[in-house]
Amino acid sequence: MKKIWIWLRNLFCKPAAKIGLGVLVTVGFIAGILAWQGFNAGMAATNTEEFCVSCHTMHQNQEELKETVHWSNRSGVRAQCSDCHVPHDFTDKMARKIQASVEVWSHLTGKIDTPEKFEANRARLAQNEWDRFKANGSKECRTCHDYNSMDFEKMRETSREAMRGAAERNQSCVDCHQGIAHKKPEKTDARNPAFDGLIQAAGNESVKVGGTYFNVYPRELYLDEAMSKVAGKLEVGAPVKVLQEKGDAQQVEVSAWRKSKGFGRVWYGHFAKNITVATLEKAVAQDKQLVKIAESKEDPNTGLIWQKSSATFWIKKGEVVASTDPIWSVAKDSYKNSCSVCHKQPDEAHFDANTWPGLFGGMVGFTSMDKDTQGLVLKYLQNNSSDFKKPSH
Amino acid sequence: MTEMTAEKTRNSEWKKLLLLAFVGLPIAMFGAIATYGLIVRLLQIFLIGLPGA
Repeated sequence: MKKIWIWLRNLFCKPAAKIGLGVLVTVGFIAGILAWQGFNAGMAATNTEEFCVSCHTMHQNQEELKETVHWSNRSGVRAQCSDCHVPHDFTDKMARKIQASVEVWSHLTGKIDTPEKFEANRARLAQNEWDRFKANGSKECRTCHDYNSMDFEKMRETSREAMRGAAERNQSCVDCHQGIAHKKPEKTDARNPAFDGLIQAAGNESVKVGGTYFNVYPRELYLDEAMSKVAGKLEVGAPVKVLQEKGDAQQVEVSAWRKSKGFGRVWYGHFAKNITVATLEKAVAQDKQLVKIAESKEDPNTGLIWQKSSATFWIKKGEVVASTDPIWSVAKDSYKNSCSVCHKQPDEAHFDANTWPGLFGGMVGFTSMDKDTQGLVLKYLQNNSSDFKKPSH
Repeated sequence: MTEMTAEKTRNSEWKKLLLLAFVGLPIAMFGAIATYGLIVRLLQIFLIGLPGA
């Protein structure tokens, strides 16, 4: 160790005896140029498409890009992998390269080394990129796309207002434009963590027999107390009257409206409003012993006869709460967060209960809400729509 | 200093010069940049978060 130290000290501190200072500096200078050139060439080489796609894992990702405007368009400008995925500033780029060496490692060690394994991790990996773009305001996009250079008049009318608003807020591109270069990850069936809070609240609820409670999570209705025969599905936010409790099961009465036309499988919370509270199996819905009809009424708008019906079912204990407030507050948060990313979300009472499903269905594809959250938010919107509240304007 | 030792010194100095300039220092530069990148990346993970705009 000491020897190396002395050798190094001599190397750097002892003047050269036989080589001129000019020669030393010149050789150093040339070596410096070559080294820096070589380093940059290395950086550039690891930024090329050929390098990225040389891992078999990445083949499919390039094929996806080839379908999009970022690959081929009338102006012949192409964004390749690194244009979007590698920061352009030196420091951030170096940090990203270090991060990328981890990615190369996970390819070499086989953690993610096939398109199938990539697919299995796509949601997580996409989220990493979305987080990065969120943090830096989609800086890499904006190397080419600049709000200041946009001619809003040349935009389609439908895009214009959204883009003006985004420019005013200096919004990150990928907030709205997810999935423009690659396939969006499949929506997972993983439960929205917000439901866990609701289920916990429901677990603490002391249920009184005879009281009306609200379901916190979409789940099965059963015909028997052993909960073996499925009768249908109870929607989130659906009101139920608790009749008795036995072991893990709860007997509840569901009263709702249904249309006399068809099998009467779908039950709605209110007369002539398409807000589903339960969907029954066909045989169950047709069972006259089980389903009691209290009254029939014609909806003047559609001419359909609606029947006020009720039936008793068994459900798993501990998943109802006494008030819809906690349920709607979860829904409201999801609604606000998911919708206001791209536009000002409309007031809940701006539309009526039968208008919301169409509107919501048209927009929800742009969000990352999972299925249960979608159902929850739609029910929240319908239950707080203009049918139940005076509109604020 | 004899002719022989002077020649030896000159050879050894050239060897050192070329090794240092074309091998040692480039490796050191690469190492320094990689270390810098690693430090920034670790800071990003644990302290400062992802880079901003």
